[in-house]
Amino acid sequence: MKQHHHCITRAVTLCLASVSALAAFGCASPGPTRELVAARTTYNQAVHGVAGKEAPEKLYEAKKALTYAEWVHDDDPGSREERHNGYIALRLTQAAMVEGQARHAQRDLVAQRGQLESARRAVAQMQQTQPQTTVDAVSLCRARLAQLKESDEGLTLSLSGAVLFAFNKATLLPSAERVLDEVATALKSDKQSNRTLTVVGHTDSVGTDAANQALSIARAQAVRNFLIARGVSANRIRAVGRGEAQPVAQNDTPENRAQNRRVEIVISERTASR
Amino acid sequence: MQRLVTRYAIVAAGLMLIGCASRKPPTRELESASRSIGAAQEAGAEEHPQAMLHLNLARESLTAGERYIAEREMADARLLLRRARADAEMAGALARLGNTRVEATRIAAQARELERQLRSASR
Repeated sequence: MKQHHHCITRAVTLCLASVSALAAFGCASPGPTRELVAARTTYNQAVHGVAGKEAPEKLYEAKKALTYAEWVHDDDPGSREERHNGYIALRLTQAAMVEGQARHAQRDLVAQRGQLESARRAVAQMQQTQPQTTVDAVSLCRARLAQLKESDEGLTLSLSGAVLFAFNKATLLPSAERVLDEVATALKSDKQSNRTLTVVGHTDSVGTDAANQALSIARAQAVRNFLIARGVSANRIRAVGRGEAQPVAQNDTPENRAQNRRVEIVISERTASR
Repeated sequence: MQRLVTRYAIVAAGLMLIGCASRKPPTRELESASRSIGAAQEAGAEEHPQAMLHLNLARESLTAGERYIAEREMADARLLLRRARADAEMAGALARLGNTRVEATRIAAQARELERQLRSASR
């Protein structure tokens, strides 16, 4: 379609139109094309969105295209040229909106990547400071030689009296040495080696308070001496006897009484540096 | 007589000026369209369906524009090449948006894995 032919055609049309100008239609020109209307609507949306902040140069381009399309509409309403220019303005506006979203999302990603990296470092640090005693005590428990409890005092390793001592005696049995060897290894390799250890002897309620008290302290001291001989630092560890004062079960059946006859090693959170 | 000739000469020259612009090949628009299409490709438009759609539209418009140039229909060529560029810009923007979404999914998966590690470490 050659431009000057189009101009001449238009001129002829206008002449005819002016002849019939007094007809019912008056001088109404054809309305804007669908494409131009869409371009206008979309541009108005874009101005209120993220495109203005994130992709201003793209939005400006779209604005120029829309301005040109409006000029074409004024010059030649409803024409094919208006349609094409409307399309171009619409696409460029949409491209600006999408570009704005992409840049906004990209900035979020940068922040998220940073957060992930610092979280990674925190996890790595955590894994390094994991206390060694916890791990070794767990293996002891797996061997069903000891029980582990956590309390306000700290960690309590509970060793069965029957494993360690003959009935009513304070001398360590040979089988006791295997168990206590593992305990000694665990305690020595504790990374926070300033933690105080308290060996506590307990008995059941059979016999007098005084006899049970004497037995319990003697047993506690036997365990303490063994651990020191195996390399646990002497000034971290002390021995205490509590006799029948702190049972863990009712002294009614042989099984329960056996449970009460025990030695506990309390690994305190407090340090020995005083 | 001389005045009539002059008047028509001026009108003819005027018409020629209007016509001149539409006779020059739209090399600037052709270059611009090709550049935008290349940029959209590089941004990975072919990996995202919506972007691919607009990239194809851009390529079709570019081809049609080149055909119009060959047929000396320069005004139409210019329109189509500008259309091609607009669709290519859309394709590029959609590609970039698609890429950020892919990366966001990847980061979310890494964060979940880290959470899992944290939970097993605190046991």
